[in-house]
Amino acid sequence: MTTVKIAPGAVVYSKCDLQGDITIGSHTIVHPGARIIAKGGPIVIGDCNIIEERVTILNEERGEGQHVMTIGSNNVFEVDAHIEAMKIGDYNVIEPKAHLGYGIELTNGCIISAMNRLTGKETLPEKTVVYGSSGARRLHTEKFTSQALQLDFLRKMFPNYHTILRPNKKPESAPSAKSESLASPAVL
Amino acid sequence: MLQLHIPFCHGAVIGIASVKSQRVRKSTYFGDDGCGSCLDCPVCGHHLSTRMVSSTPSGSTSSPVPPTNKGVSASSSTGEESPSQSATAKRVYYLACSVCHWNSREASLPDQNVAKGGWPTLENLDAKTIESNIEHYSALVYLEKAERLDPHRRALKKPRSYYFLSERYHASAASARLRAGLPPLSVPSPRSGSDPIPQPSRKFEATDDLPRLLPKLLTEHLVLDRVTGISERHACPELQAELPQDLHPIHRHLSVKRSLRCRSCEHNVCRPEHLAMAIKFKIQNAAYYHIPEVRLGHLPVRTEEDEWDVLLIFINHSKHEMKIQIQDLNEWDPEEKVKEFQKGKGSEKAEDGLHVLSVPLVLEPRRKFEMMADVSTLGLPSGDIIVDPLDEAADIGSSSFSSPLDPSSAQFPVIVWRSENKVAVGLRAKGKISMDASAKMGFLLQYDCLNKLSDSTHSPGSKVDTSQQPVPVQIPIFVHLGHIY
Repeated sequence: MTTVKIAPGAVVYSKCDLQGDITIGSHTIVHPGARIIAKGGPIVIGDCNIIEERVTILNEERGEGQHVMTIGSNNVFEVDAHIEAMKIGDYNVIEPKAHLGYGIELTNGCIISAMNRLTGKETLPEKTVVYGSSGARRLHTEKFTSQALQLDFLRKMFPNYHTILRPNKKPESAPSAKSESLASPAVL
Repeated sequence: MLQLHIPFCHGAVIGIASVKSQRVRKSTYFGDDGCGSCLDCPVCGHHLSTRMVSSTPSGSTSSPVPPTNKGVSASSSTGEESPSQSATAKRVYYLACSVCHWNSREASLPDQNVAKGGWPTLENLDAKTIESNIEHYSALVYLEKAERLDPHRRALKKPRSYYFLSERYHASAASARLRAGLPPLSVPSPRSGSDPIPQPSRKFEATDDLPRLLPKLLTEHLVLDRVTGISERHACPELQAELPQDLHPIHRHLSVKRSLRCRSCEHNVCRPEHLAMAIKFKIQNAAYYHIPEVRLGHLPVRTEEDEWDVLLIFINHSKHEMKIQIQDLNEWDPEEKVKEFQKGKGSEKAEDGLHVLSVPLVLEPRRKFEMMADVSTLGLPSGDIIVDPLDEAADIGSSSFSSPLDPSSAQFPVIVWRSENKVAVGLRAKGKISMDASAKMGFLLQYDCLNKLSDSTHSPGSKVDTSQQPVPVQIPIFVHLGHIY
């Protein structure tokens, strides 16, 4: 059964492939063509994430009961990324066509560059960069950056070109005037 | 054939004259020269881009906004800062790598006030010693070489300049040094034959007194993130930083353009053009959109004795539907075509420059001999193969790839598959190939060429717009099938 909880301010394209119990936090943007499939348990996505086209976020059935997949805030999943990692922190960037396997755990500020494939059981330390065709690693020193400008732009432009799902989750605290106005009136 | 080597930088797209490049070089003694304006990442070797941040007069810089995840440099987005902030803020620049996220602040390089240049370079303390030694040994090498090449002059015992070599072998001093793997001399003054060989300021001597390994290497736990790797050290061999914070940006290594010029007629046989403004590039670029591209689909598969299945892919880059025909090579007679063309030209007015396109290649007898195919083609399709025009938006939509089992899309059995503006055609080649020879298959490709350039030359009132009539053009195609036997 599909139950999608969308927090106010989130912009979710109406024809995305959403299956199972999914919670999408406020100000998160889900582009057309993204797939979020929660078969093996609920998927909880935090605030201010960008989930781009053709991204697959998959919580697969593994026959050991229900497992919750949690994704933090301010993450960016770029085009055609494939995510099976059960725990992702904040401020991570998953570049196009990157693959995160089931046993991988991302902390904060990690950057997985394009086409890199991480499998096995591993927790990446904070600010890890996985780059290059051979998957070399290093720790970067940049500050955590949020995608505020990009989010603002998408939030304004998205409803002009796509139909989006109406937020159906009641805000936990009293919403500010800004976030109310951002919850777009466009419905299916 | 006279060869010329011109060093140039991909990043700056500038050709650097040999003399100038000697002054430009800064970074390495062992490779080619470095570009003065472009810097590479010391960690991954990717091109470093300049990022802008605004810093307040107190010295604290705002967060370096690598603005979007798309790799757009910060300079494009920080323009949206508030006016009050921009009034007081000062723009500073730092270098960052978009691949491995290394930045110049990690190397404790101060931020610069100008976007280009001004980055401090780390000088090797032994640079002068190394350079004088290289000069000494290279002079010795040239002396030996000159003696070996010209033994009857050996009696004179007269050291020769580089110009001896360059005059004799028509190689410039710079290219001769390049071939020998040596850096150019910092002072390119010609040494006369009587000049002594330059002596190094300090000679290298072998020593037995080697420093012992530090005990901490064996006792302390190694953290790979806090030491540099081999590739990072080898990227800058003269400095070889051991700690990541000692890594410095590397001046981009120059590439070499090679041009060939015929010695008798001075015709440019091979001339590399890297600029998009060059006429030659424009001609080639324009031609790319007018003729079908032919690719070999996969390695030929042997079916029977002396028979192979060959998959050729024809790609239409034009925005018009293209009809192609594959014919036997024997049907091609360029002389007859020329006669036909001249005949047609005499009767018609040469108002449309279109027929120029149908002028076939006239080959010299020798070239003709070279264009013999080793294997003959069997089962040539008799009809036209229609290749769909290029649709730039097709990539976004769903792929219209048709499987070979779909009979409706196949016009006749030779079409293996078709997808967007590509058609894969199966041909059969027959012939006997010796074990170590590369097989060459030949066929005649006829395609319809539509002249779009003459559209503007025709006035709207002209009666028949012949320019819109496709002209069949025949070209012989030779495909190297590789070593098949």
